[in-house]
Amino acid sequence: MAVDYDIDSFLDEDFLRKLEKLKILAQKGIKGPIKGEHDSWRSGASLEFLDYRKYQAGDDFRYVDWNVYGRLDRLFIKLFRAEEDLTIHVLVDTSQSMGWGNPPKDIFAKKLAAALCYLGLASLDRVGITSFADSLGESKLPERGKRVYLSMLKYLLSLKPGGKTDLNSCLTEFASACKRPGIAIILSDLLDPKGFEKGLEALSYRRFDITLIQILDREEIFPAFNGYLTLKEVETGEVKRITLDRALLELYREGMRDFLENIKDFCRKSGIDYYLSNTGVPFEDLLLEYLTKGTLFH
Amino acid sequence: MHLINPNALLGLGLIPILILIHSLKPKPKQVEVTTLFLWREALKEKRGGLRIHRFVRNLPLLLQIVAVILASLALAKPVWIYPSYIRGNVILILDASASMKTRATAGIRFDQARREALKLIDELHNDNHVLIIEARSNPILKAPFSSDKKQLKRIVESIQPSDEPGRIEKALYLALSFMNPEHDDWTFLITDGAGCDFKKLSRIHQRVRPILVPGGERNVGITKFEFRPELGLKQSYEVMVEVKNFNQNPVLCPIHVTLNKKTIVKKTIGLRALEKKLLIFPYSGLVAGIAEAALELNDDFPTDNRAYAVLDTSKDIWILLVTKGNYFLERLLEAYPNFMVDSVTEIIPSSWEAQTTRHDIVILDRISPPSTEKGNFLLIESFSPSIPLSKIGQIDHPHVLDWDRNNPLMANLDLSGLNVESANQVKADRTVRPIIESHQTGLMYSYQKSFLRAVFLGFDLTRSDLPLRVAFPVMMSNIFQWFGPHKLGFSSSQIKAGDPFTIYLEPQTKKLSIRTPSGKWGEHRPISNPFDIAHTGEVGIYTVVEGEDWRHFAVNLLDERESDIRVPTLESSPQKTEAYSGPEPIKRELPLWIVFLLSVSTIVIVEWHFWLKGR
Repeated sequence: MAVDYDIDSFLDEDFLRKLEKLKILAQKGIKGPIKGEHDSWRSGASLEFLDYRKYQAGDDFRYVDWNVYGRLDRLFIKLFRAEEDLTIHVLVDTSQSMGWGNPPKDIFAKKLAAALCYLGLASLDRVGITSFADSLGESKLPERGKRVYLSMLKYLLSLKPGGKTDLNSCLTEFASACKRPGIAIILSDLLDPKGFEKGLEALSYRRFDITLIQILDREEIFPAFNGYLTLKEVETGEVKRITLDRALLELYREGMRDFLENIKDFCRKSGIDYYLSNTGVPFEDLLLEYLTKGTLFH
Repeated sequence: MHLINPNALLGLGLIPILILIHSLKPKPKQVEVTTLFLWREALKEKRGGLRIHRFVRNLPLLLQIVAVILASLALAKPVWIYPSYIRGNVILILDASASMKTRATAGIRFDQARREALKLIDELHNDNHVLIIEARSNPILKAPFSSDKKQLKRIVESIQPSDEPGRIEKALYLALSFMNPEHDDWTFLITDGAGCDFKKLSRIHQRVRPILVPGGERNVGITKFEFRPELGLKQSYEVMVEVKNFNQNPVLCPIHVTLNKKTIVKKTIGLRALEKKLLIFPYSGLVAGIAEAALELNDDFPTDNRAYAVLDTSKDIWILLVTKGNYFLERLLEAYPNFMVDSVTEIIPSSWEAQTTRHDIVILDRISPPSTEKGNFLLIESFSPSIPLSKIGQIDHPHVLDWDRNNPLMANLDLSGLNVESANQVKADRTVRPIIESHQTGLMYSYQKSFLRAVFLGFDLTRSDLPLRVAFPVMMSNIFQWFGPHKLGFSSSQIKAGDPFTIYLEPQTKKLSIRTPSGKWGEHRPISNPFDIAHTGEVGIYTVVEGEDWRHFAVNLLDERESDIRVPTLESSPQKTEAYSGPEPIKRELPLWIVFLLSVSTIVIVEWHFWLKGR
């Protein structure tokens, strides 16, 4: 069900201008060797005074407070808030199930990823994209500057849904392989029978600031079919013959509700920002109105 | 449960077809989903109530199988057999004839019969419907089919025994007409068995259960009582009394015959067992008034110990015959001993009214009278201005078409083949009633208005063969009877209890009062003349008051069969019915097909409802 989009129709300029007004703030201090627009609790070379500490051998004499030395006859070093850059990792689920829906979920995910990349680049952050399905796919390594945005769009457009989902192994692998942890924004439908918790825990362990955006189609939450059916799973091709009546439909909806509640509970307990998006909601509205109310954008 | 038509169970063969149809499933529609694990969980949870789920899933099939089974059973005509005391309806015949007044150990036989009837009603099942017939000389339907026991018992308690001879067979035939053989109805006959051929009655129907009420056996009764004049001797009569001993032992029986309370005969006779004696006593003298014959003994059945007769001697009847000569008419009038005939050849108008007033009957033969408003007239080819009937022509050889057979003037007459040479063609008003008709005109008419009665004959007697026929004296007698029956010859007014008594009324009579022997007065408004007095169930003297005129008539039992109060033994009946000991429990069938059919309808409606809901 993959749909081909060109870059012009993928994101229009009006939308991109709106995105520029947004600023990504990290909830936690993230280390980075290059100074960015984000504050860090690490002492640094900014103009904003942070604290004093005793002089130690090797400290830069330029930061000794000579006024204090004059009054107390002791050496103290002035500490300033460091200004550091942020690395944003956008992880896009490209399993076969993401190609399902109307519009397909992968289109929705890629649009969302493109918007997030643009925002990150506009904030002078490093932004990288990694696709995954049953294993990590080709990555677009973190880069800074709007000049890389076009290449990122091309990269996103090149992603096609396929393969099974293995969230745990993919996220664990990413967590161990990533050299610069930062903000990890995961775009997935999370429809993996093996679960996703271990993967997210691995990311948390590496001090990633995780935002989980679950993308589902309305038909997945509220199926509109009934009768005697053969259900075919798009990823595995496995079939299941059922007679879908009201009772079974209700049970499915209850199961889906529980499934989403469990994800929500897990994320709350693990300090993960969680958003559930429906492909039926216009993408632009979701991003501008819904996500601005969350903690991702300020 | 019993099946009347078990072949209908072949319909159960539809069940495998139903199962086959349900086992056929449509090709499933293929739907792509992103994951199956949520569906599996839902199915797993649904399987938690697998039995219920399977049951619900197969419920339409189960319901359809049940519907087929019930429909097959309905067609098989199932009946539910349950014990009941009486099948179908019950018809209760309660004998209220004279013999039921026989004295028994406690009260009279009827008291015991009533107790039996009440007991029977009490013992019946609540859904038994009971019809009550009172058996007298004519059966009376006292209560239609009802299951209201209180009402039925009230009706039974209201029935009183009469002095009428019982005609149980009539009551039985009436009861049988109400019996439905398909419903196994029963008839209970509570009687003493007197006055009927009980053995024969018991054979009438298998579902007739007699309940005999015994008590009292001794009886000697009067079975005939008559006064008759001796031929050729004036004021000489014979008194006939027939007495029968219904006992198995000889008795001495004192007989006392009185006329207006004056003793005529007093005699004691001996009667052997079951002996009947006909006694005739001569009597000379004026016979008028109330005669009574009495047996002066104390037996168990007093109703037949007395018999009555109301006697009336003949009075002279004055006839005015206006004729120029009619041989046949004159000879006929001479034959009536008490007819005093004044014969004239012409009418003197000035004295006509006085003449008619003096005579009881005026016969005008081919001479028309002047206007007259009062009297009895026989007009033979004569026309009176007081009677709306006029001559319009003459008919030769009229052929008698028909005559009014129900008219008292035509009683016991046959006029077929009557030859009339010539007759007057008349035009009559509607108030004039035609009696004999030919094609062209009426040959005889009757007319009645206030105090005027007239019979018109439209042809000359001498120019017809009527006087040569037997019908002539009979017809004339009927005419004289119609004019004034109470004056004709010696009469003894007595009837059997239960028979109607016919009374001839004056034309102007609008109402009359009747007193029963027990002294009860009743007022009647006669709608016909003569008038039948139907309620004659009491033995004794009845008094009829018509204006200023008082008349009497006697009602007697005088029924040998009814007086034979011996109760037949049940062993003698062909069914060898044992003494009644309450209704025996029997099996009763209740048809169930309607229940099954309703169940099928309910199932179909329920399934249809759920099918609509599940769509």
